[in-house]
Amino acid sequence: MAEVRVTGRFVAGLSFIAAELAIIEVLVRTGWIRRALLPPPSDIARTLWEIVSSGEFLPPLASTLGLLAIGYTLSVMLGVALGLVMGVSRTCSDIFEPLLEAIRPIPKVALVPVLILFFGIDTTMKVASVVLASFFPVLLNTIQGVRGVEPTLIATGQTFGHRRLGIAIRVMLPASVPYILAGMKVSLGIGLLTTILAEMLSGTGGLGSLVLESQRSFKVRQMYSWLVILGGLGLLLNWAFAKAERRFVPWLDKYQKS
Amino acid sequence: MSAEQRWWLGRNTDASGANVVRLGESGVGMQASRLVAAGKPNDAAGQRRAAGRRAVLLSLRDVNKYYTSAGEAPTTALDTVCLDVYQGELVAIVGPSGGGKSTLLQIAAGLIPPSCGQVLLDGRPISGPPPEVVYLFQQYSKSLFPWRTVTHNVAFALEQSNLRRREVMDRARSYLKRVALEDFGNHYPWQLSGGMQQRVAIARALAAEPRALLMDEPFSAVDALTRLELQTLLLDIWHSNEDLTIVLVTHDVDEAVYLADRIAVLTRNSRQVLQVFENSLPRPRHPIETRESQSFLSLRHTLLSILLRRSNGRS
Repeated sequence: MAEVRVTGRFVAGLSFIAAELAIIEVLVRTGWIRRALLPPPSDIARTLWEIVSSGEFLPPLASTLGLLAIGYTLSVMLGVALGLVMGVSRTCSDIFEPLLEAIRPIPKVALVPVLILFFGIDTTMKVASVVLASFFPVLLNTIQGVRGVEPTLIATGQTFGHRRLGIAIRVMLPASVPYILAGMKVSLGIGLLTTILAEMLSGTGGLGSLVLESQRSFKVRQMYSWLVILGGLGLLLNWAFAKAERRFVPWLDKYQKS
Repeated sequence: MSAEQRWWLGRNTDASGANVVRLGESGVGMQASRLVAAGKPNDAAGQRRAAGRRAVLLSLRDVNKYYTSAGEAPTTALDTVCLDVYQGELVAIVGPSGGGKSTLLQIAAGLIPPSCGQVLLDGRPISGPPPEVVYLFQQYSKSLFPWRTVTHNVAFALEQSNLRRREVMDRARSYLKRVALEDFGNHYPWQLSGGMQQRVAIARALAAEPRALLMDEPFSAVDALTRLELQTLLLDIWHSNEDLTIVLVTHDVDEAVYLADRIAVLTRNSRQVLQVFENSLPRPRHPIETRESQSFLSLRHTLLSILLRRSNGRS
């Protein structure tokens, strides 16, 4: 029954999108919407197919994904490590918190020009932007997770002779995984956003710069095609994240219920 | 002294044997107490234990615990508690909820420091949880690691040792077998029933090979039948390991009388160990027959009388 219901909802949602596209198609072809702003969806689909079938999309996609992968991995590692230290040690959190709180409210993308000043427009700058932006959700969630670990679990670690470091790594870190994952999920979205923006601002390589470039050179169909590819990438990343979560953290649901 | 106490003291004056309650060291200045002789240790294991248990393993010396919060008078959780636990014995601490039993046990395990007083292990004061003492929590669902399988939960107890990984896992499995859960090693704790989860927790505690196992109401969260099974399992484990000392905190008087060699009574009003009763019901004990014996019933009667009177605020 549930399966049928899910499929039904899926079909309903897809039909609505198809209807929208059909209406836009009509509106463009009848001249209600200017082609220069929005070409007919069928034209975009044709261009998209050309880009995909020729393999033209692969190099920029690889470039964007690679950048995101490096930046995201770094920010997760940094965020979890610093979050664990700050969650465990009051002293460390007293030292780092004011600085972090000062940086946190600045919209990170506003700092990209600063990073361009320091690192130029190359990979270093882009990676730095991604790290700067996507590091905070992981950090804050890790701190929250570590501070909220069930005291009984910590006492269990103590009674079996583990010291502070052992408890931090063997008890607090795994117990915080649900929080860390929630932070990582937010970070993934922010990371993709920042990657695209950094690519646009630097104008060198990747999907971001292609979107901007095709808009500037009035290749509107290309622009929309790249946007569709970007949308697909976002979907794919979220799907992969959920899949990995279930695969590697099978205890997640149960844990949150108790 | 109340009429009730005179009643139970009088009732037992004719009991023969070593009718002396171990209270001397406690120095709590309480009224004279008498042992309630419920039977004689008539089995070999019991006698071996009785003979070998003169060495004090854990000693609580004038342990006080009070909590202070700003602007309020300090709340006393424990008031000058003294208790000696002998090597190899099974002691129960009974008392009502909110009587400070758990606090006492956590202090004994080195998990929380006393406000004043000392805990001695082999005569040496402890400062923090000693590796020889393992604390078993009442809430098994909160003390088992949900991200570890059952075997890995048990293995946690051995990860501080220098054993190789393989050896750790082998031992974990053998302790699982001890609690008859060898077929559930790859399950997660939350896939098991409450009683099974507590067995995992017991296996993990045993795997650390502690000298003393401190159990905080270990069977209070499972159903009545499972409780009987787990009690019998515990006795079984205790009988098979002569050096194992168990201190069990419970509000269940039946459980205390069924399991323990000695029973310390902690009441809500005094926040002290009031009396320690020797329980010489014969071992091995039987889950049904022991509970029907006259000695069982009379000791149960005595303890319940004290607890009910005390918790009513009269003394």
